[in-house]
Amino acid sequence: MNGNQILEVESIYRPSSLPEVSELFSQVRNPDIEFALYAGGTELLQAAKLGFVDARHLVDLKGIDKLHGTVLDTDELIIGATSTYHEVCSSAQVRRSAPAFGTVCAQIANPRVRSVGTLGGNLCFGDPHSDLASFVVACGATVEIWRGDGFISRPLDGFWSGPYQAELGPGDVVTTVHLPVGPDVVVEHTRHGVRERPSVTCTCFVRLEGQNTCEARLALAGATIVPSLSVAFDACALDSIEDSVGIDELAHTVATEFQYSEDLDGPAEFKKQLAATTIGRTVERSRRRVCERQS
Amino acid sequence: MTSRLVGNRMARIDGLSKVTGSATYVGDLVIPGTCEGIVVRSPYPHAVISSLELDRARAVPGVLAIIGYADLPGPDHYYGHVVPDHPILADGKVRYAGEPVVAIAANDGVSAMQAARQVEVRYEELPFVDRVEDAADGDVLVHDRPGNVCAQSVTGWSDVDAAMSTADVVVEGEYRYPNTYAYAMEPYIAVASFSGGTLTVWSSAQHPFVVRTTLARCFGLPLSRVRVAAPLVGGGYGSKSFTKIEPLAAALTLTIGRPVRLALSIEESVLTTRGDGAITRLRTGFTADGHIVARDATVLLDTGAYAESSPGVAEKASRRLGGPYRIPALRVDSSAIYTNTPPASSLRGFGAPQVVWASEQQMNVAAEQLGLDQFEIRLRNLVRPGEAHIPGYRPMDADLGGDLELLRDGLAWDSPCRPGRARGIALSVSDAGYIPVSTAEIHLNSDGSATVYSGSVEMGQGSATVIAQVVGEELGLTMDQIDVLQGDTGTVPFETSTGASRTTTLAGAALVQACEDTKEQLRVFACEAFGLEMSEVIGDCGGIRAGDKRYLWADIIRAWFGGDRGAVIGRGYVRQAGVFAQLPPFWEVGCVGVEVSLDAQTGVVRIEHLVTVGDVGKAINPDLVEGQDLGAAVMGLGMAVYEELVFADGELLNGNIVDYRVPRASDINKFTSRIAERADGTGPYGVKGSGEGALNPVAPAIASALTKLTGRRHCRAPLSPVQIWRDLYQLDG
Amino acid sequence: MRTTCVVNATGVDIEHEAGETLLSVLRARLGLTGAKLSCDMQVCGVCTVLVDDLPVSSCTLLFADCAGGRIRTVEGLAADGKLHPVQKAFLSYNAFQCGYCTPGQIMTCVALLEHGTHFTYEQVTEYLSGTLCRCTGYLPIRAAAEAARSTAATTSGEK
Repeated sequence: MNGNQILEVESIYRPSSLPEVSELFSQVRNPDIEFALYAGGTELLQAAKLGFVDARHLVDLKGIDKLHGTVLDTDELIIGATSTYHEVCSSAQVRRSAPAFGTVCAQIANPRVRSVGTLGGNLCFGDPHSDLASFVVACGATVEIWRGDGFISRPLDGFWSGPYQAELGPGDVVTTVHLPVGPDVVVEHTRHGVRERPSVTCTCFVRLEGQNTCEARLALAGATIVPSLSVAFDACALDSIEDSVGIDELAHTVATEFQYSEDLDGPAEFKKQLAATTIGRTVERSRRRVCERQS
Repeated sequence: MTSRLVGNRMARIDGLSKVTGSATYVGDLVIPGTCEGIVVRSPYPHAVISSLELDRARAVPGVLAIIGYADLPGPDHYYGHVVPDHPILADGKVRYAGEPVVAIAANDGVSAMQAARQVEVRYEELPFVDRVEDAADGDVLVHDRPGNVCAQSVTGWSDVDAAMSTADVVVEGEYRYPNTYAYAMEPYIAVASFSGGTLTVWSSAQHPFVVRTTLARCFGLPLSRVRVAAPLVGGGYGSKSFTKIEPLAAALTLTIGRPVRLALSIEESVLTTRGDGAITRLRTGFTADGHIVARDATVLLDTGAYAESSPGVAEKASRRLGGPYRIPALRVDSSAIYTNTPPASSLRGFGAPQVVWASEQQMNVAAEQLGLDQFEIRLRNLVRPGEAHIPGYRPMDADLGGDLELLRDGLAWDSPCRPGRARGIALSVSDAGYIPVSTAEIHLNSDGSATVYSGSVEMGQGSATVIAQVVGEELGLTMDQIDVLQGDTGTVPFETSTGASRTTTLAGAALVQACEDTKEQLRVFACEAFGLEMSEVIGDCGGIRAGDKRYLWADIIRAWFGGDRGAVIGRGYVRQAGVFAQLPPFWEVGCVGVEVSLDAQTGVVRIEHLVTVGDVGKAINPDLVEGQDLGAAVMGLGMAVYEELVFADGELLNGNIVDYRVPRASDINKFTSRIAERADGTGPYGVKGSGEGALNPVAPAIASALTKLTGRRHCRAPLSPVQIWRDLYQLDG
Repeated sequence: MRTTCVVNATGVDIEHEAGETLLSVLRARLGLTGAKLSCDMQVCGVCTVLVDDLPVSSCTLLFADCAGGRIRTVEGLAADGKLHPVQKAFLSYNAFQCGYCTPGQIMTCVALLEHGTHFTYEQVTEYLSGTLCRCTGYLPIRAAAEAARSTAATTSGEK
């Protein structure tokens, strides 16, 4: 950016409804015009400054009511995609129904990014070092997407085909995030790293049915090429742990499942060790909490 | 006379402006008619420029000038204060990815960027070398210098091989210190204008007088026709020493005749200057009772594409490696090696952190092997006060044994560590102060207030406050009677530089002289104005006394000039003579201890307690000494644990704040500062400088503490999680 | 385009380019140069100002997105010729050296304290860790923030 403070933006469109967004995309057939959707701008404007995206024609989604707010729908917390991290972590509803998610949002980047950055922006941008990815994948969260003239629902597991690649078409708008919640849910999340973005995040989701573990998932992100769900980790695996040796063994088994990226954090071999440690610590806390519930 | 100001924790005189946002930095200046400059940089680490096509870029609306090397104004297009090898714009060849090739001035930043995208440069790529060890014995030459040696410095005496053969224990190793970045929060910025035959450059510069000399030579102007002004500098740490982007801004303004602002981004600033990384191969021989018998070292410094300060860094490294010890036989062969990476230059510590990383770790390894305490092995080898540890240099002006006592106490060395923690220490001395040439000027006004003119620069260290304290002390004034003007060659008298921890000692000495000169004149004027005899005049706080009558400065000035007119001008000159005849002007001590913990599973090192001893002779303002020590030590912590510029295929991979990790508020929890005041320095009140010393020993102190936890030697900095993992599993790479 | 908002308690109505950031407007159009540009990536916090009482990186926030907002900068902190308690604490603890990051540090502390005074020292540290300083080694900044928090807690009766 050369210390220069003006971004190359020609126009900002401010639709107040989703059909207006579709209209924008269908009416303008000029191939030279590429619309860039944004809300907070913490991801998009940054990418534009670095020359990764064209931000000449911005579409501001903040004026669309449907994308705001948080509601609890029985066992699902539905959070508007333009909710900022600050709104999420200070929401009484989130604190009641998904306190762990509130904590994750409260740890993202820095207070300034939390003031402005949004859930939808985070998920759509697909930063491999996202704070949220392992959490939403482990929980089995879904997103609702406005496409053309209606909504479709997509699980977040598999939502990213690669770094910075969310499976979205032109004009697709992520409208809400649907997070499974409930009194029988235990979620533990670990964020580890010494640099700006987490080197590895690990989330363990457990659903109890009475005294029994009926559902357990573990997801890893940051160290992997895309956020990934463990195959080996399930309710049975969690139940079969007997001691800390068992946790270590499981953590190493799970850690070998993933494909690790190589970047400034270190080589894949190191990432794998870091992953095993992080998985072990996350599972240990989850197991402790599950035991507390069961006793 | 008891001190009223000197030695006290006076409030900083720049405080109010800094907490209210009114403090003015270069980027805050508004120069009417200023246009925006931008630089087009090479994408290749080493290439011949086969053609420059600028016409399309020139056609972009709003563009005022686009220049390549051939278009540069002035008689000399190269600069460099040691080796003038640095072209203002690439001269037919680029030597690092990020080197300026074309400079553009446009009415606004967006036009300048659009034009930059239209510049077409054709390159023929050349083989490149981006690792210092490859450069030292490879075939690729960055400049036409065998072995890519930019400069070599050898320090030593006696027959090292013979002495080493008598050793009972020899500690040997190869130690790597990373390429680092000073990361001043204010990126490089310069605003240049040319008017009435005078070139003015406002720049975030530590050495405005050096920049003035460079610009005068490059553009064929007398020194008097070049004005370089550094208002408040937003962090320097050496990175804003000497000449940086000022010639580029000046070339643009001389081309178009309008003021030009050249404001670099952080990413571009990293490509402008970094600190020299180093590989130190070191052997130290000890007797069984822990006395050093010999030290033998080869140091390769990663100088990057242009010399800048690196020849000096190599020279200082050779004098800083040995340590403040009696070494019967020493050989340090230190070379600055060119590579196809951004140029390295001054950075806080200047050669010391790179080599102390090796030499102080070996002291601790030897202590371990010989069953000695880390303090004891040093005490057995220390030079005594007044004893020279390098022949021909100033004898030691510090009681290092006393400093170690303070460190031992501050660190609670003799009490057991909590489980999972360990402590380590390290010590360094640096030949500091640079060249002892400083001048100062004081205008004592007719109301008795003083305007102080100093060529030093306020970059956060608190020099303005210290200067006011010294002048206030000497002239008997209060802090609010004094204003300090600094850093503008158009208004203040000559100062060599602001660096090497020199200001309090050398500018301070010039200021005390200027105060004496002012007072001497005032005594004469008092005699003339009030009919007194010199013999009856005695000094008094804020004036003089004669008999039972007291005359304040204002009384004398008003009586001598008449009315409220006039001012008395006092001058002070410091040169390499008298107390400063012998170099260095003083030895700067670095004395640091740490207590660390380690998460061995993740490789995360935590500094639980950091202790520094500031051996400053006399603390003019203890708050500022503590501030320098803490700031320097935390920077040292960053470089020990996190910071490294990573190059791959000649390209810098992490020239930004997301990927280059500097210390944060959560990285340091407990700090103990001890200040040693023995009035043993050459400066006024026995003062010696501070500001760099506390950085130098941090990394080896941390590594030595970690060794106690891991049982392994940690020879490669930074001690990042991945490096700890490599050290624990003894992996290469 | 045109944007209306309130800056330091004064209404402003500005005709500007769509791509202008809040920082650019504050510095170049309103002459409020306290907030500085540094990393330009929302990491360092040097450009921190408050919008509707929340801290933001003004380097990466479009001014167009501040419509109707209440913006506060370091220049607006002192009232009736009296420094804000955070400014006083920064002076008392020498919580600055070069001063370049100081407006951002101060606004960060102000944002924190306006959210309550019930924070622990560790929480204060965590919050401040998002704003970088290369001079001080942070402890003086943390001490100033803690002192301002403690004063505010005493005044407000929280603690």
